[in-house]
Amino acid sequence: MPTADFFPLLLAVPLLPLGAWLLQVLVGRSLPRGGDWLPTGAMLGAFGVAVLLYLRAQGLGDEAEHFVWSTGATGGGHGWKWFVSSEGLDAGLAAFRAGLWYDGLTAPLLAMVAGVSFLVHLFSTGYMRGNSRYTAYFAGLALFSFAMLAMLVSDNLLFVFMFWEVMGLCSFLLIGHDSLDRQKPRPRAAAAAVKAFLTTRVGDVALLLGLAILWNGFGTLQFHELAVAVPNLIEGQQGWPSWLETAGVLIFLGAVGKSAQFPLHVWLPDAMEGPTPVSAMIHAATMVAAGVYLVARAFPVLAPGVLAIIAVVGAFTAFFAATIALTQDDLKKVLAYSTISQLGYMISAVGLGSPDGALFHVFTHGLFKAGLFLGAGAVIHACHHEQNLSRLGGLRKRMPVTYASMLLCTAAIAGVPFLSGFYSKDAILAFAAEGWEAGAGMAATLPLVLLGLAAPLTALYMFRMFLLAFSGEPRSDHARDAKEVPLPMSLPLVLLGLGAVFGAMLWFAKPHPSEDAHHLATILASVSLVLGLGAALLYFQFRKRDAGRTAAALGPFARAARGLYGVDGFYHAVTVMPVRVVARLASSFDRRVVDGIVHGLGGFAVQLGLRLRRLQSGHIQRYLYLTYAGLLALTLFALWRVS
Amino acid sequence: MGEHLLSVFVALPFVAALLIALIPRTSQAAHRFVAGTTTAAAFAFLIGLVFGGFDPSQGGLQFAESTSWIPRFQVNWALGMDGLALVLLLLSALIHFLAVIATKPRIDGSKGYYALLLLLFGGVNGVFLATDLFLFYVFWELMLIPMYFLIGIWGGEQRKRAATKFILYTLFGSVLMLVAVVAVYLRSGADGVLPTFDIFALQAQAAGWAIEGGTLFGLEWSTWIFALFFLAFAVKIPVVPFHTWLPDAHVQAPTPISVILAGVLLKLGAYGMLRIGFPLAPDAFAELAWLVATLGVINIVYGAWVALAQTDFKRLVAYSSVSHMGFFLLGIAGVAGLTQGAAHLDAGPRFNSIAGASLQLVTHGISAALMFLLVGVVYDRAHSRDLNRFGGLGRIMPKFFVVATVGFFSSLGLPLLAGFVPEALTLFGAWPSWPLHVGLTAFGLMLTAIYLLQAYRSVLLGPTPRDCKGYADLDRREMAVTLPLVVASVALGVAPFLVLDLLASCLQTILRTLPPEVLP
Repeated sequence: MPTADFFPLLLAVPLLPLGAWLLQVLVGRSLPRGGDWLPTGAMLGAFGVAVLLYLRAQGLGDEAEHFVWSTGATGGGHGWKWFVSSEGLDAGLAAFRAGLWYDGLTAPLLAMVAGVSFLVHLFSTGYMRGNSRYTAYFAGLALFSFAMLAMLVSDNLLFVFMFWEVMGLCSFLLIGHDSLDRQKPRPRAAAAAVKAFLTTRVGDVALLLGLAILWNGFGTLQFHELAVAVPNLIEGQQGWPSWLETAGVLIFLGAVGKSAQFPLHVWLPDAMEGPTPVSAMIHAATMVAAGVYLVARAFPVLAPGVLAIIAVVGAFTAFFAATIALTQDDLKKVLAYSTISQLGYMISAVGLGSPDGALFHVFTHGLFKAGLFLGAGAVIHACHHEQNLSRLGGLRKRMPVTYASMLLCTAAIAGVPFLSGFYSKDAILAFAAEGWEAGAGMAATLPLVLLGLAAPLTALYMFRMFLLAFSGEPRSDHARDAKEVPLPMSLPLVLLGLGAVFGAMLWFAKPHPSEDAHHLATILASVSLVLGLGAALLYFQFRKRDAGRTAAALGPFARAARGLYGVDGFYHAVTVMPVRVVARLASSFDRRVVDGIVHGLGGFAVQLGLRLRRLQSGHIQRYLYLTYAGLLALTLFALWRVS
Repeated sequence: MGEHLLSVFVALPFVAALLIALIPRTSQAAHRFVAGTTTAAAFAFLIGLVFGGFDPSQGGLQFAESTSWIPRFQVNWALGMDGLALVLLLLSALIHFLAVIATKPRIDGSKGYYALLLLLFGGVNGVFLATDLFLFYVFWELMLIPMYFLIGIWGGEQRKRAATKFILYTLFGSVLMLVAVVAVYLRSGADGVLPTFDIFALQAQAAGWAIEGGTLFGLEWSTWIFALFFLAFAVKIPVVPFHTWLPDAHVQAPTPISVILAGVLLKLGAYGMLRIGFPLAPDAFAELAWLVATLGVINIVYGAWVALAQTDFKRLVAYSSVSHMGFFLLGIAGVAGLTQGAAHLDAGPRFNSIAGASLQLVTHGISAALMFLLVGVVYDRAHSRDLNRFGGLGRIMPKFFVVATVGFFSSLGLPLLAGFVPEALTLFGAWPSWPLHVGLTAFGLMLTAIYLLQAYRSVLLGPTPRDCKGYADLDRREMAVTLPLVVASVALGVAPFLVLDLLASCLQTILRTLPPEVLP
């Protein structure tokens, strides 16, 4: 049982950045330094509280893996009514109540998100200095952090959805930040922001429908209650009803959008138009992690068939994005596709039956990917916004701190043993191996094959990027003149580098795959690392190939991968264009046909009036004539009716 | 005064309009002051009722009063307030007050303008409070006339044409309503008792009419009643295909009048359906609920799709109103569908559905008013509404950027802003009855995001064209008008129970007048 001050403290974690956001919007511009210290300080505070709570959870010892503290489940009242208030009304009206939730998965995630957000804030005070909308930028960052933290402490799927949508708004504003620059607005940033919002919106709408089905099926969206209600239903019906399977697929579609899984991955690389610390925020601590978090929390309602789809889609994304990452020359684009690929691992883990394993990788990935993106930000900052790998190089001596941090993070993502990424990815591979041993057919084999193939590719593309940027000789004046970044920027790099090494030790709920599967996975991971790292070293370190030659060596495959396999173009052809064409048709239908009929009827009435007016001629003879005609007609009609 | 509280409230704007008529033509500030004080006082009075006096746990009428008016036909001056009426009155008072502020301090013929605006306000109050069907009809007609003049005199270049279209269309609806009103009046006296115009007495009888109503031209009697009321109110909501007067009226109306039109007047049709149309023909409503749901989805998807092709900012917002009001229809239809697979929650979805539909009236009132104000802000500077001509206003107008972001995303249905909760409630509630319709609605939600973000981008983001460079940010008057709506949007998004608490009991009462389900 938590102590009395627990829930107020938990609530303080998201409320601190919210308060900072409000102040930033209202008075930020009149504060010294554009008020940047306000959200940064608030995030430090939130991080402090999150760590405090984490330590309390850790104090539970072995219990830490299984405990749940929630306002709904552990007697802190029953949450707060929010949605429909219906006390004292007809029985059966389910009021929607929202409460707080804290368990062994939330504890480290909350601390990680708060910590990474704080470091991104701190880094931004250096990176964004002199930006024309400095205050607005920090306001957006604070709101972003609030939404993610609030999502993590919510006890139900609807609130997860709500804060996830708020994150959508924040990412929209931050990706589009440069399109509002007072000196040099970038229209491409606006396009990227709109694309990100609309692509993820496809998933969001599906998710909302999924929640509608769940709500009508169970009368609750609270994690705890769903976890109880679903097994009862399955037992009663002896199987998964089709509506629940539909709901599962729709919920998964939500995650496909937010976590940038194939085929809705197209927004994430474009989102690189945002300032680099924002990319760190989106890719590591917030936004994309939300999708994984959602499916992990919704795990009890996912039917076996849905899980199989999830495992395959995730594994395919992991492989598919890795091949694209291999061919990108833009430093940030490589990282973007690497995020998509890593998210594929996480999503696949949920499908393989290990939501804990998925969130474990969210946790470690959050640390090293934040390190990678902030490191990339440092490089871009030092090299005057040069981010093309073919014009970087030789930064090792010029930026030693950044170099060291990036090396640790790259090693972690590539799966070098005893670093954080190794443990979490190893666990996912082990679950894939377990599934393969236990099951049969494509659904059991595909995840292991695809994830196994993606592993060496990860080491290869990551070290390719790393070596092209840091080793060899500088290939441009910008790279030659690069200097190490100042302390507010280098300190986060150092801390995140350490996190990339030791992060795995902070996670409570260690996944437990079977012994055999674990061995297989370890062998697979080690061989992958040797292959990938070896290839990268051979090719880029010793033979000193530059970026352009990679593509030539890989031939038509590379051309396809560089063109992103035509997915973007395909979408433009089958969605954007038809929607526009139909809109134009609908609009002209509305004007010509619908409104046309209205005007036609109006015109008809006017014409009828004009014609009938002629009857009122004033000639007595004609009136009499008409009267007799009418009388005659009536008489005939009467006679006809009588006979 | 105690027992005539509502009479005084309804009379107040008419008295104030008379007062304006007595003030000299040149004292523009005085006209404005009277109109502003009257609407503000009305709003303050209603807020006072929320905090004391009005009991939200009661589903029935409060402060009810009735005085015989035309004894020969049993017509009474009968007023009463329930949760739904109170919530919509609050919205109306707020919107009318903001419309007064949004009017430029110096306008031609301010005397007539403010007097008509108050007449409109009074008429709207009367419609919401009338519990006598005849009185309802009188107020309904009364409020159309000021609107006609407000568009026809103070509107844009083609104001006469738009005003004529508006009045002809709505009169067409009114005539149908009059027929239905007379029909139910006569029907209520058919069993040898005294006929009545009392809406609640008619509701109580209506369930019986279904069984022995007889037919006319092959259609059930109650089907006729339903069709007549539905058509009458459909024009006002507006339901596709009776919507084409709306974009024309909006484009020609001055900004404050557009704000009232979208924020309040569209809600009257919906209110009429909830209070009169459906409860007076419950079985016909249950049988035709599929049609109502279908029309709702058509409104949502078709409205959004047409909006997508608009290059006129104001037309785009007008079509977005058409689209958003579709949620009301869908929510209402959700009340009378098959309940399947959720027997233990039988009442839940029906309540969610009607609560979503009712809350949508309030939240759309707020978002649409805000959107039309944004259009007005841009139009005042550019003297154009062509979306292709602007850009990058977010860079040079930071206050406008914040307000516009709230407006657009509130309209889009972003959680924590007003638009989300009613949409979610409606979808949740309508799902068991109309899963296919709800699925198609999802498509409309997508289109909504597309047209809104497209407009957002072309107004606010990117480089600023040269002729937009000198635009000033929101001035104090513009801030004063938009900020209350921004606050209201956030408040309703974060704490929807503020309004739902007022509505809950009243909606329960309305639900009891509607049939629980249609059996196949």
